[in-house]
Amino acid sequence: MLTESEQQALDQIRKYLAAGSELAAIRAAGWGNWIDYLEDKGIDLHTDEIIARTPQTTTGVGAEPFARISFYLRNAVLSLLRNRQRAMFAIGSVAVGVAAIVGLQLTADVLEDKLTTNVRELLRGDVVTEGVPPLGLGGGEGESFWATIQELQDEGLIDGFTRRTFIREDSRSFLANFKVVVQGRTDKDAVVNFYNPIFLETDVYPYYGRVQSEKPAGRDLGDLVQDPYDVVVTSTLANRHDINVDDEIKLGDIQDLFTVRGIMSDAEFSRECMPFVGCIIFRQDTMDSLFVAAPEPGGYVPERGQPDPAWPGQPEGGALLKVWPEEDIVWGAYGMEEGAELTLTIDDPSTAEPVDYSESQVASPTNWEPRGENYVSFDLWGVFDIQPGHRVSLSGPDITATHVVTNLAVTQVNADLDTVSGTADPSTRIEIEVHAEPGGGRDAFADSTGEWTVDFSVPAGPLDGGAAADILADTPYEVRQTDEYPPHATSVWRPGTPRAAPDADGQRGDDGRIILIEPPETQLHILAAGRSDAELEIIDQRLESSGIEKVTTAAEAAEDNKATVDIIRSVILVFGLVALAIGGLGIANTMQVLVRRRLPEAGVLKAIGLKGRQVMAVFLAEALIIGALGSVLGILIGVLVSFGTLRILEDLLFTDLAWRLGAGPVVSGLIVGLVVTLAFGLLPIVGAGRVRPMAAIRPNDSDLIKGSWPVSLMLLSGLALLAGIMVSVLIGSPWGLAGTLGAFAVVGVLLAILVAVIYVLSRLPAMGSLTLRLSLLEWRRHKTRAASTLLAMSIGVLGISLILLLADTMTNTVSTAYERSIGADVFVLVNDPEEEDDVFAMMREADGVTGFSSATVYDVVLVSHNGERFRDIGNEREGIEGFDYRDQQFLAEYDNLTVREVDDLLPRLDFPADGGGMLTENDVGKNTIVLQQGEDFSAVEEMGLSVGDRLGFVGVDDTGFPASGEVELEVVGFSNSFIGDGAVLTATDPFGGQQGVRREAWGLVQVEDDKQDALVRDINLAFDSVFAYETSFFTDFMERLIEHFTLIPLALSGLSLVAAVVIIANAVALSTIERRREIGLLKAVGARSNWVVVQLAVENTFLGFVGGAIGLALSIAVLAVVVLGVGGELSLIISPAIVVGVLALTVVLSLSVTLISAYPAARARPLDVLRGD
Amino acid sequence: MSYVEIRECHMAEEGVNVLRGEGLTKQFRSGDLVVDALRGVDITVNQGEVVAIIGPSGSGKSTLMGILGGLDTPTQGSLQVADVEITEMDENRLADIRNEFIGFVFQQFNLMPTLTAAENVALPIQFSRTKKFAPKRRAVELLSSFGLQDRLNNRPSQLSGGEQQRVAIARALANDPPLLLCDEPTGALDTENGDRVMDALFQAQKELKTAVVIVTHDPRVAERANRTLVMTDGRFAAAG
Repeated sequence: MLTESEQQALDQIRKYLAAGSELAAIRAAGWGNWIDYLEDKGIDLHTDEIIARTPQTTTGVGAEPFARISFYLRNAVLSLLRNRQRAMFAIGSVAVGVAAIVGLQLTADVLEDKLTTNVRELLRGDVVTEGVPPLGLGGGEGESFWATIQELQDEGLIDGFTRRTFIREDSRSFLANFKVVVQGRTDKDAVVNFYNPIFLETDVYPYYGRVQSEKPAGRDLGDLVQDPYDVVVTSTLANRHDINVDDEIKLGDIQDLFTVRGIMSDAEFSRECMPFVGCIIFRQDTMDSLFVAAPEPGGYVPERGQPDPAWPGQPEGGALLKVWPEEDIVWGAYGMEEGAELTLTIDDPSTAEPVDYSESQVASPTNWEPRGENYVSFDLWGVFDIQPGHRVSLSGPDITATHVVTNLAVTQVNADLDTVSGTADPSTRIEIEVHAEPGGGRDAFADSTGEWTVDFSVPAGPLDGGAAADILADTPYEVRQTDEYPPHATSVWRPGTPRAAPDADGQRGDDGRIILIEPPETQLHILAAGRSDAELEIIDQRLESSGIEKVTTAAEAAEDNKATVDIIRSVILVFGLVALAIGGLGIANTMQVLVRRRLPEAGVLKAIGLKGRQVMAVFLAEALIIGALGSVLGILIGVLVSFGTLRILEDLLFTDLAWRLGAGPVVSGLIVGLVVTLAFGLLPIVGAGRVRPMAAIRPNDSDLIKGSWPVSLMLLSGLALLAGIMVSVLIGSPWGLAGTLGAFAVVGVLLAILVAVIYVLSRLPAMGSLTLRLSLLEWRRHKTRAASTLLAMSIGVLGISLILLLADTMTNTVSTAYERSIGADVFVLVNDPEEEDDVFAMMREADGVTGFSSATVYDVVLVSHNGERFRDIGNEREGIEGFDYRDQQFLAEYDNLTVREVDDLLPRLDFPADGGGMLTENDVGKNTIVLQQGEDFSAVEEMGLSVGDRLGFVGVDDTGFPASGEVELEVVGFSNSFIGDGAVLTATDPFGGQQGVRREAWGLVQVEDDKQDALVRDINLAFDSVFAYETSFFTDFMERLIEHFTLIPLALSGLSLVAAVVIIANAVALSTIERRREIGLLKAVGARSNWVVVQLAVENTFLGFVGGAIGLALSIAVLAVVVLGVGGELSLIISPAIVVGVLALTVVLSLSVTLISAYPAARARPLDVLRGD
Repeated sequence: MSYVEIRECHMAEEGVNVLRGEGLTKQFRSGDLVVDALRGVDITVNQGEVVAIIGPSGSGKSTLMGILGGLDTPTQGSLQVADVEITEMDENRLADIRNEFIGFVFQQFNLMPTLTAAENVALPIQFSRTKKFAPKRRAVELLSSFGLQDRLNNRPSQLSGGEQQRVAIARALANDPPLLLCDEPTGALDTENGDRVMDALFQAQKELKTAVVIVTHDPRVAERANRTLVMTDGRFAAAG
């Protein structure tokens, strides 16, 4: 603050100044002391106000307060316009980084929207459980789970549930039984070999949101699929096979045709549908009525004499008794001594008649499973018809077990009242289905006298479609007794329908239904609307304690999805930062050129009195404008990119995504763009500030910038620190700092190594070539610049070639492995043994077939090793706590055995050094086998297997029961390769004569390429239950899948290659600026423009080529490490096409960018250049 | 002492030294090789005086110009501009001295290519601390006095060499410095244009009483100077 007298003096001096007086005159007038005094206090006598009022300024050409700023900006804009090409590079570099950040963030926003808003719609329920034991199957876990569901429903904790079932595409029974043929067509695509069937309760599914068709547009799933023979297909499948709405399709050998009612996006079924394959969606009750799951043999080993919880109803301490009334099979086990005589009696308690049937059998050991005890098995098919109400008893020394076959009947159907009544075992649950319409299926309880009535005029619960049903007198009906929940498949009954005899192959159940060998996978969507998170948590806990695999509540899903989004965001951030760093390099590099070119100009500015910081401001303004323009451009590109990325992601994730433009990514893009431009432009800008003013007089001196390297080092360190802190803050971890500093250090070390490489390169002999000599000298003179060109190019090439090579290796490895293991072009699976001869004959005689071979695959279990039964091994280990047969992976490893002919089509497998070898002609007729070993096959290690060991196998039937005696086979080789189905290969058919062992036949042909399609089509159309396909299908599939997943990384690597190109362009530009005199001189002594261009092209193209070669070599090294790390799964395949292609790309890119940059410099007139001084 | 005061002082006393250099040497090192570009130069320039420096190529003329103008620092010796020692000044103060006290005219004109003639002339005023003149008005006045009133808004690329050099002189005079340093001002011009430029220069010099140091090869330019100094091998051969 000024004192009153000081203020008065100042005011007076300013008044004089304002009146136009010179300061000298004021001084002379006696104000000299005051002027000194005030100026010493640092007070500026000339205020803007005074200047504004001075006579000069009143004329209207005065100094505006923002004159300097306006000068900086104006000059910046004009300079950028003058250096358009270079400025575009810089703007492009910023835009690339910002576009990546904005595009990725917008994508992340969309994913977050999708994953975290309206989780219930995503889950299609409040709680979802996976790995649900399907309704209609027995088994220990199912009991407890379905009982819990029932309890929860009874307690009112849940409102209802709906099942969603699918069958894995690799199930062999599915391949054979679900082949779809589009009717009315004979082209190859009319046969749908590969797809995933999904079964939904279409009338209630989904609880939340809607599932709508694409064709006809906007129809709900439940609306389209009403009849059991209605289906919808997903658009992938429809497109692949040209399926249209209202097409009729035939499923396996089921006579009734299905109708395609609609085509849906794959998005809803992304969990089940294989990529590029697609799904067909059926009603859930279609599965219930058409397919019967095979009864599971249990898989649990009870203690001797203890009841098996998987088989309810057996007496305490008694035998396990299992009755299959429809197969007329009775089976008993446990608690019986070997050789004891067991008597089976069957009677009907309601008639009080004497014994209806009686038979005795001696208990024998089950030699087929480790859980085996002694057992008896009575097959009464064709001997005695076991009916509901029959009492089945098994008795012997110390043993009695009784089972009453459920007494199930419909006694009355009242079409007027819409009621159905009947009888069942007292106090048991039944399910009744009267016709396949919404509301036609119900649950009911039989009362204590065994009677039940269902009133169909009352709407049903959600499971049954929520509708009332109209009962007709002649409606076919089906009642299931469910004495436990859920009903066992063995209790399924359809009164009034004649029972069909099972097919010879034993795969057909009642009514020609198909038995699914491998159980389908079910998930349950549970409706618990309006329940609190705490209540959902209770549901979760109760279900989980019932032994279910996985339960997800809406709250958990939201949390999981948030975590997923966070991970995606981190990954995206890393990608974005990498892109930014690459862009930043481009900026740093381009700014360096921009500034270097104009150092003389900076010198002039200094000569006319600008200070260092003011010169810096001149260039800073340019950087700011570049940053702003680049950011805006980047944001626009990012928005466009996010559109594209979303489409790719939709394909990749098989889901629908809704694009939206958020303010966050746009603002952050702008800020990041500006900050990065300034940060990366700082080094050259500071250099400009430190330019020697002498540059104005001597613009061609080499050291125009004062003492630059310590400052540069300091700045770089500061920059690294700043970047590290920024990354740390962004990813929320101190490791960001360490990582960034590490990255800077690594780049520094790489640069140092490459400088050494350049040093060595530049010492190479020029072999008398002037061009080469000048190139070598130029590299030696600018080692660091040449090294950074190498670094940029090698990193750019490293990414691209690594991805290409890895994808190629994966595709090759997988397809080679597959083709080798199959050893054929076309593969045919024959499900019906009776058709075998016809199919094979057709294959042999088909047009273009050059080789044919057949194979048989048996279902087996491994029972012994070198004559030692596993049960005995088990006994030895009984003392070990926690030993459980179920943990013994190796028992399940070799569960199929493939018999192959020894011929040209026998797979060519890899064998380890001491692992024996492949089957030969000598093995025909001998009991010898080759086993697969490797990561998923622990038997070799756990059992200490070696060549010469004997393994005992027993063939089993559809249900997993033993169906043959034990066969001992000698191991002659262990292969590292994928052998095919079963992992046990033999040349001799060990079960040839034995009925009942589950088997399937394969036909394998080698056929000319252009005849494959016709052969596949003809066989598929000629035989309903035969499944033919080209092995190349999987190769194509793999290729497409790998292509799909490499798209985004490839785009990112492309970005780094673009950066490398920009860096090369800048390096060329820099060297042309520095060598203006040299070029002028060369031209003055007679060099032509073209020669100069060639000179520059040789220098830089060769550098680009060397950089590319280094990148390629590095990528091959990385690939080799990956391949070695993965182990035997992958084999190192370096495609010459990729190597040559990548190198050619680097040459073409470096050459073209050099030409663009060098051409103007080469055209400069020598006089202009040389006249400089 | 403030800059304004320095200026006032030296304006007040006739015959004061605008520039006084004593024992100025400059060595350049290139590895082990030491090049003596200046070998103890003494020079004094009085107010309103025109001094021509002539000499063969490589005799150190440009080096001397750089040092006299505060673009470069001497290895040894003292240099006073308007009685103020500048050899020990820091970068920023030197920049102020260049802005207020010294005008430069270069052989290659060195105009800002992006700015118009008037903007080029106004530039030093915009970066002046004292703001003695209103930039645009001053530019218009100076350019008009050099006969360039029609070329105010042309960019350097739209001007002839002679016009460019006259703009450069106008720019050098923008802050009314007591000293003008010209490095081969006619070197890039033909005779006719060179003469016109020199006419303009001397006319302004007379009106503004500015001291001028001209490095030149052109004997006709040297003739018009008050004194001519001949430089050989980094020192003056004779003082005139």
